Amino acid sequence: MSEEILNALIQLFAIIAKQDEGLHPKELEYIESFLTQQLGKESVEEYLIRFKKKASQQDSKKTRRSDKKLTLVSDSVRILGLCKKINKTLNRRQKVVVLVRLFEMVNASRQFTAQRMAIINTVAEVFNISKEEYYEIHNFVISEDIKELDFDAILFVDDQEINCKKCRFIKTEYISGQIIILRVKSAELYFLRYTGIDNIMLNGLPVFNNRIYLFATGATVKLPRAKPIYYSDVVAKFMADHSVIRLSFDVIDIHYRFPSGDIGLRRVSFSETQGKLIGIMGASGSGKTTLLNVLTGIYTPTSGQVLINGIDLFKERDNLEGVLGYVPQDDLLIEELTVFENLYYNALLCFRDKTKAEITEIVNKTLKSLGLYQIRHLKVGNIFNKLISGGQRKRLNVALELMREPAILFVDEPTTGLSSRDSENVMDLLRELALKGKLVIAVIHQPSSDIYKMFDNMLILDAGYQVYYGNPIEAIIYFKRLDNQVNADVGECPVCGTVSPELIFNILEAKKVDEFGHYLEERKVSPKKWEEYFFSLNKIHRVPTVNELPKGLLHLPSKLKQFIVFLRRDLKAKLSNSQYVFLTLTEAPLLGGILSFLIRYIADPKSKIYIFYDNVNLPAYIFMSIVVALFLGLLISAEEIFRDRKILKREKFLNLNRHSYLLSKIFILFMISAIQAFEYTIIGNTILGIKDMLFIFWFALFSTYVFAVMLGLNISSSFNSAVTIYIMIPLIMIPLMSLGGAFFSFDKLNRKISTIGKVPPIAEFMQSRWAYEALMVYQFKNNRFERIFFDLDKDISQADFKQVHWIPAIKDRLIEAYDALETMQEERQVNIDSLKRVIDDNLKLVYNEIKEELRKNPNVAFDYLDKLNLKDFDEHIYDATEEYLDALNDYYGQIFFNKDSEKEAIKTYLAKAKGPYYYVGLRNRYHNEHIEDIVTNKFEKYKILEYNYRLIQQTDPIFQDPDNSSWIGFRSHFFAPKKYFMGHYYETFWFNMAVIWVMALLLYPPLYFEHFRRFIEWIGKIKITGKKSLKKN
Amino acid sequence: MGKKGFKYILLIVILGVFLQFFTNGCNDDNDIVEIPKDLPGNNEKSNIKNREVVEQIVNSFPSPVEVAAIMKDMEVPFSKRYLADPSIIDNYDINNKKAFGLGILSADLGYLNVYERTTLIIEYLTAIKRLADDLRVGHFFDFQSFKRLATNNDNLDSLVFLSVNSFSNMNQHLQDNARGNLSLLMVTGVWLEGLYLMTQVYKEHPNEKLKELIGDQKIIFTILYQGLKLYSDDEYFKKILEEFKKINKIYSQITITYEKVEPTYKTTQSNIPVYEQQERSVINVREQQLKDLTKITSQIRNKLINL
Repeated sequence: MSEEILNALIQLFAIIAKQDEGLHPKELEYIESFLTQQLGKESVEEYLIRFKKKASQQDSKKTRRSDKKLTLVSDSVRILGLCKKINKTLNRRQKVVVLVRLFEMVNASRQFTAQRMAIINTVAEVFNISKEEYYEIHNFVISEDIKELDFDAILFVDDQEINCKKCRFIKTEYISGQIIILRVKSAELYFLRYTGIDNIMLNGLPVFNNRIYLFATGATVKLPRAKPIYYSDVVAKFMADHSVIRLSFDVIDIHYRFPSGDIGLRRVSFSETQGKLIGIMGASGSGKTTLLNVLTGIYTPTSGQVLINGIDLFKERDNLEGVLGYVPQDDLLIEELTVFENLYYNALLCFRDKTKAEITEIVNKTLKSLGLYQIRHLKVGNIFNKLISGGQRKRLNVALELMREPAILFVDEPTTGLSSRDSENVMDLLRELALKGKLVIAVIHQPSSDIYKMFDNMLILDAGYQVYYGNPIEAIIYFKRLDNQVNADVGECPVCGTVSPELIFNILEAKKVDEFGHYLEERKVSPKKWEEYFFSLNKIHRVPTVNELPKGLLHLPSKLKQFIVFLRRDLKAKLSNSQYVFLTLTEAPLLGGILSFLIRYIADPKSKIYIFYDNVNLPAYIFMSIVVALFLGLLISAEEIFRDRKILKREKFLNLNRHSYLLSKIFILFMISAIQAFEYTIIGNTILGIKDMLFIFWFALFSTYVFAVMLGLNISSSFNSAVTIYIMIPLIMIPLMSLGGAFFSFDKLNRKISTIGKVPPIAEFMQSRWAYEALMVYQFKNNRFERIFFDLDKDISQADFKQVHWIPAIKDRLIEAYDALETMQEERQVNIDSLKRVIDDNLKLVYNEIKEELRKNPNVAFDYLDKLNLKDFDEHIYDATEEYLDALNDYYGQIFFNKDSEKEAIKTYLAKAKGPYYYVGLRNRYHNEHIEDIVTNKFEKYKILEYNYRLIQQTDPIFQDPDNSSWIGFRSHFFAPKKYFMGHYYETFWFNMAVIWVMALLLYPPLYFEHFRRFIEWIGKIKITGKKSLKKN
Repeated sequence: MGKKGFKYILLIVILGVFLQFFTNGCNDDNDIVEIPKDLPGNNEKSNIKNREVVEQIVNSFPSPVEVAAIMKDMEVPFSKRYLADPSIIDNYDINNKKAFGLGILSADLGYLNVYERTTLIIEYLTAIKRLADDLRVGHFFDFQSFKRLATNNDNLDSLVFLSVNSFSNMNQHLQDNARGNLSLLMVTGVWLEGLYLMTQVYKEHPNEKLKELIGDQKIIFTILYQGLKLYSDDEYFKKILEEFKKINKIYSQITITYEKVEPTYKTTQSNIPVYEQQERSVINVREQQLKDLTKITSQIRNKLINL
């Protein structure tokens, strides 16, 4: 109490005391005892003198002028002045206390004169205390008659039934008189008066007959021959008829073992009902948070049950939707959003059937009730960039859960890291929630005395053992007693009311001492021993099971609506970060600009004119664009889910739809990708003069982004630190880059991974290979120059290959086989087996190739295919085959000639119709020589390869149709002009795009089910068990 | 109109720009090519057989290497001015031009080989390879070996052999596929460039031997001219023939008389074996005729390579 208040109070006392007959000795006695209670012995004298002076001052005035009324008026003015002063400094609770003290003083002398009562009445009015409460306080202090105390703000504690209608009652045993408790509802204060003569103790201090005591939070009344009465019991009585959700929360023998095998919790049991604030205490590592995670249903216990109104939390979770609320220690706020928006989007996700106006109202109400309304438009910011205080953050976090009013609220370390003022604010909030009928369970770390006393019950854990459960003040006494300490029955400091919860831990963890006085590692009493003590001395009382179904206020919106809310929330958060917006919009065009500018190469040193045809860098540009898209896609997505993981944990707890969340993320990231890809393409293609293909390039890059985003989201949900995520990026990028088909030719990779004549299987999983092939093939095939000639070029190439490489190769094999046959017939004694093998090998190849040729080209007939084997092969067959090959040669010669002539005719036409340089101009503007070199594999030394009794064409992949021997096999050689799948041919570009989208789509289930994270965790587990088994060995 | 309305308008504008770019961003109408369905092409294989013509020429004319060797022996300094610019091939569209250009550059390559201009050799080889690939005869030339031999001067005879052999194989292939016109054009190119080189060098370094050689070309020219006439239906050949008429006019004034002589080999200063012809020909050529020939050859050569 401040000096100012004390002065004001003394003056008020004096004014009242001097009325009528003046200061009564009993009043003086009261003042003295009051002052003694408030102050140290030394100061009491000082204030007492001051009081006497004031009171007698008035006396002299009064004797001088016997006009009482006049005195009263002047006093009234002074009273008003004093009260206004008090009004400004005292809060409501303190004012109520002042009022009660005034009553008490008058009661001391029992001189209830009109003037005295009038003054008190005036004070009450100025203090804005309602008539009703004034009356209640008045009767509580003054009245002896039970009938006059018959209203619902009164509670009797007696050993026999009290005959009253409205009042409340707690039955106890063997008590003289009654304990009367008044509740002043507006201030949520309780006062206590005792009418008997027993030696009753309030928080360890004696209670005198008919004196008024503040029955503060956490207080305990000790009765000589009965169970103590706890604050929470009293509050519960007053709350009983509130329309609160009735609860029974039973924790039965919970055991929990970590996945690593360590034991987290052993035999934790307790039982609670609504309207309680329960604390969980313990040293670090004692299992507090683990217990909370089990109680909230996040961890499933190894054995034991948690029953809420008889419903098993782990088996019938669905029935408990919205009943549980969880405020983790972590911050759940979205830093880019304001205080209001954080709550608003949360509310949108929780209430399906409320309109926006209603939700705004709920949010504003919540903000007001938590004292956050003033800062509602401030951005939340992060811990390093604090815009709102720690206490405000915490309260806002609590508010997120509070808004939907869960019946049971779990709070993990609500005060950690907060100032003592903030801590008290937060705890007051929790206390208030409990008083409103919720069950609040909080893990608490190093609570201050005041906070410690706020709890109704305290659960103390020691290395996973439950070593105490019950009243917090009792806990101190319990441990002191077990430790045989002196003064063990005093729970709190008799003078100041302070308790020291640290004492419990000092006792719990006391170490043995050796003969030199050094502490040993070993404890005096093991956790297990403490637990045995506890359960031998106490029994957990099960609260009666409530059978009604608890209902939360949670009405989750539909998945689509959730999606939209997530989308809006994320979009708002992103847009409010101007740095992010700026970088996102400028990054891609900047890269596109730099890259294309750097490689805008003019081949002719004498010329200043850029010729698209001559730009040697174009294939590299295409590939780099894909790499850029992959990189940017990974970067924009890699932190997305990781950053939200705490919020996600909570949203999972709320049972919000993960699809909605993920799809909203994906949608936004796809939009960003589309924009970035567009910016990149338009800049890059314009600078490099890639004409006509804006959409195609954009779509290919966008698809690449899409794949990278899906991959990035998977990484971002799999790892638990930003560093790991960024370490992962090169691990993903390097294979994507090296197996993309641009850096290293697929024909020239390690034989162990490559397939001759096809893209290596491992490269088929590389998105880059599909995108690169798609763009290269499309650019080559569909540019305005080549598209005139492509079909002709293809026929020419195929005919030419047959004539120049294939037919001669077959003939060579045939001759080799025939030579061997002749040798065999002439000289019987030579190694026949090896000759036979030569014939067989060669004929096998000839057979395979001709068979395939006949399948694809039935125009030239050959009747001896089946004779091309070791048994039937003879001169006749040899001649027939050679004849067939010659016919084939003529056939392809004709095709070559026709197509070549056609091509020449077109060229001639172009020169005539459009001018002599048109052909070259068109080519220079649209066609690129270096893309052509690559897709025609111009620099390949071996044009034809023999592999597995087949001949593999190495040249002109772009003019070579894909293998269509297997119906669903879509694999082909690199740069195939079209793709074969399920009996149809598809344009390479669109087919490859489809493959990329399918790949991206396939990344969604692992994202949804978090396969990668589970896989990584699974790997982690293997290691641990591996180590253990090693140790055992 | 509120803030929202403005946003929508902005969105529409952006979308509009987007679509504009995607659909017909920077269309150049002149670049839209419609090819008529029935172009006058020859879908029937030509029956013209000119293998003998080509082989006769190949066997009888001095290879560019030999001509250059003679020049080098005469201590004619190297000059890049005599050579065609290899970047010229970028402008060739039809195969006939490419074949002719291939011949021109091959002759230049021979000259370069003798004078050991390695960097230029690579440049010319690259251009030749590109032309050969375009004509789909690239596989007849082992460019790796060419490169190795060409950069190593001691193997000139191997180089000559390789060239002739490769050319012969290619000629065979082209003839078989009714593309003998291309062989003929290549030979024409080589011959014309050879003649051009000789006349240019003679202009600056008059020399009896060179003069004889230029006169000797009459024999080859006559065969070549007859060969070209077989294709007089083709427009490109028509143009060449038109130009060659001028050469023909000059050569018709030059007469050659022959004297039989025993064949001899001799080795030149730079160890290059030179095959002396079995007949000694007596060239009756006047300086004025040579001057005209030089002028005409230069004109024709420059015109044809830029056609």
